[in-house]
Amino acid sequence: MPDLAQQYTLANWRTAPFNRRAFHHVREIVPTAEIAADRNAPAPFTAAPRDITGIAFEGAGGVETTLGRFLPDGFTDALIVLQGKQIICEWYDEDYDPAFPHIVFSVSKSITSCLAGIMADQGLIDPDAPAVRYIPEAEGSAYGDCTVRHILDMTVDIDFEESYLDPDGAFARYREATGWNPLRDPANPPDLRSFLVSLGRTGKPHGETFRYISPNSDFLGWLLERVGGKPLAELLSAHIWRPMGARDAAYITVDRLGAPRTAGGICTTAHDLALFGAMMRDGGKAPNGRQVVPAGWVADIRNNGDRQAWLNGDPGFSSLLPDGRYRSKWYQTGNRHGAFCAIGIHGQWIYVDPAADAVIVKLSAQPEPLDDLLDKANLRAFDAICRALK
Amino acid sequence: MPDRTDKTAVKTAHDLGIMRGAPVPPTGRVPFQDWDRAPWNRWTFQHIREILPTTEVWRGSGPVWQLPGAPRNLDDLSFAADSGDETTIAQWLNDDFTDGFIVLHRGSIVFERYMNGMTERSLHLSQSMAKSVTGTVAGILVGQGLLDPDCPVTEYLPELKRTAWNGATLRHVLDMTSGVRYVEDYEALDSDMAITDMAAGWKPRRGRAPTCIWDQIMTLKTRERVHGASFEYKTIEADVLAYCMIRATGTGLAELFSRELWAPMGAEESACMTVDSTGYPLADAGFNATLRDYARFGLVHLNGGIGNGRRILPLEWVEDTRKGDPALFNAPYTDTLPNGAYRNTFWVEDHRRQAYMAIGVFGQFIYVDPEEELVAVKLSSWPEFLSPPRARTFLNAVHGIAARLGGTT
Repeated sequence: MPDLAQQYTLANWRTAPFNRRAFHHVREIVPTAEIAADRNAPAPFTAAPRDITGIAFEGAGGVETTLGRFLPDGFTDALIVLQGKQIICEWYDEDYDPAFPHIVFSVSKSITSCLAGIMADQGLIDPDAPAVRYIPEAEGSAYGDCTVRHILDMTVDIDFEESYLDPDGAFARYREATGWNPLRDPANPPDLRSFLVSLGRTGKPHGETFRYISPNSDFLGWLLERVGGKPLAELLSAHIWRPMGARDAAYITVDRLGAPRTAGGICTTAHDLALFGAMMRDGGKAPNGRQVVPAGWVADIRNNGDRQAWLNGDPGFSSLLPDGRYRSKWYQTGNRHGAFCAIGIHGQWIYVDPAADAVIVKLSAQPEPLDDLLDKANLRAFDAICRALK
Repeated sequence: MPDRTDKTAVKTAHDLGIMRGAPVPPTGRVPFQDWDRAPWNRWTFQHIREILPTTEVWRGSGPVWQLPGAPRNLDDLSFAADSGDETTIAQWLNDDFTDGFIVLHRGSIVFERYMNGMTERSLHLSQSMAKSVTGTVAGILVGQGLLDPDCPVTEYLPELKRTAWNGATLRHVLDMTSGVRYVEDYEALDSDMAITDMAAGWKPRRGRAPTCIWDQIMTLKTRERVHGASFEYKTIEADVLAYCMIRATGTGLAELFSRELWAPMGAEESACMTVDSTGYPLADAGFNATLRDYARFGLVHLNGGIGNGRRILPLEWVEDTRKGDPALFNAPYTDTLPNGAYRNTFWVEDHRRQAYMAIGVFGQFIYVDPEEELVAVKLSSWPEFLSPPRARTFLNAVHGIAARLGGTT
């Protein structure tokens, strides 16, 4: 009776067309831990709808398009445009129920970074300290002699290729260890943290080159669990989700030993992601008035980030954001509005434009993990929206 | 190594170090093959979402059905354990691998206890109490005219003509009296039950086991007795029932449970269900909910189908459930319930009385007693799948509590 032709499974869930539904049903595919919220929290925003579907910009194919055409063409599941505390535009694909948490992939890294900022403010971690101060087990691995800062800024020298489509390499072993792919040898199941400390170096210095290595962010999650003394999902709930006034529980995928996939496994609603974006826009202060993330941490993200390391890094990134920088798992666009963003594969975005007082959240199910043309068109769309709002 | 032999000392998941630490040291890691076994079940039954894929049974956005409190001290209430030894409620709860225990009398919470790390928000695995949740939603659909107990299951699922369920009615499935051969052996590695565990995604797959519950249903082609001849507890019949419900309504099971029961009942938290590789929520055992929401579910039954100020389940269904046929109920089930019966996915405690129960392996109980106006829920992580002495002790405890609350002791 099951319609297997339509069924998303552990083997196909990140491939089109199955990803379209799977991205908001991740819990049915992978084990997860709940990030509790407070459903009685007051609504943080008011609706002030404006028709912005006519905003025009250069689409993925190089020809002009409008937001109204681009959203369905761009495999969008959800779009929220916030200005101040007003929701200007809210758009959902007809097959997406916005009550269902949607996977945000590497936006998870940016959220985890804010937890690191909170822990640093409490004196629980020192970003300049060696990572092994917190995780002695990392001795001898690539993480054995780097600092927390290297991990935050993705400048760890590590022998690992982020090749999303390679079925057999280290990246595939990584995906298996996180519980995201079927086990090739069920008798010898891997786990995330054993995998992390198996990674070695290439021999270049740490700190010089931006290298986008997802396991760094899983390592950060491990470190935060260690210093926070609780499962990461509970830390995120207690330090971010509840204080910022999130109303829907989020969740995060966990490996077979309960290790959370902080590099990419958070699933949340577009609404709560917009709330998170508003908090970042407002210097770490949530719409309910609570200072959730230390203002200094947010200012550091906006003002710092090694420009040279960015230019030394993967041309794919510097071509997406030629004026960019990367700091504590957030991207600075370097544009004149001072916009910065969190980005996840398959089209997940939090775009914050302080000059326009705007936050844009876009959740998507793009068929390819990385899609140069579509990713750039997304940035042009956000920029056009924010210019129209300013 | 966590202690797996000393069954007299009841330790918590925390004491045992199960899944504690970042990372969890090897001695605390739950082996997937044995996650439901002692001592691992002390942790896993409250953390199913973290080890298995699940789907949400949404509570809806309505107000919570508030349960008033009228606390009574029952800790020191003494009663006889099945061994004949006197014990107290507090001692028994501690000895019996309890995770949560709640008693409602005349609609008020009189006693509520969380143990072994469980909290008011923890979702606890129901095990086979899921069958009673499924059966309750079936009763609601019968009331809506969408299901007919007298209908052959092949009316809903024509594919079952190729299985041993050919000729069986929905009634046979509801009462587990079909003649289908299904070996409910929890320990054997090759029993039908072991295959269900693999098909459900609960256990690693071996050999050519089916990859989903539906495929296993389609393999069951041996009829070993006349349909309706006797009650034989067959886990997979709850799944046949669930597939009839899915087919009759054109709605997924989790959505159906939410729409017809969890949301109207005013559940405090959303529940969740484990899903197999095809996304099918495991109606026979995969349900997870909070202690209080299990109590609300019991209260709907106690109140003749009314909960949260509205009719949820037809009164006729509740009355029919109390009328199980003891003639169909034989050994080994009579070891625990000598005068029992099984009807509409519930266990009737004594056919001469009105109380009935949902029961799950490893010590899960929802006890509904209209004569005493009592609902009791016990969630546990016993070392044993089944334990007639522990089950009989549970019944003794509940009878003692009922007597105390009813003012007869």
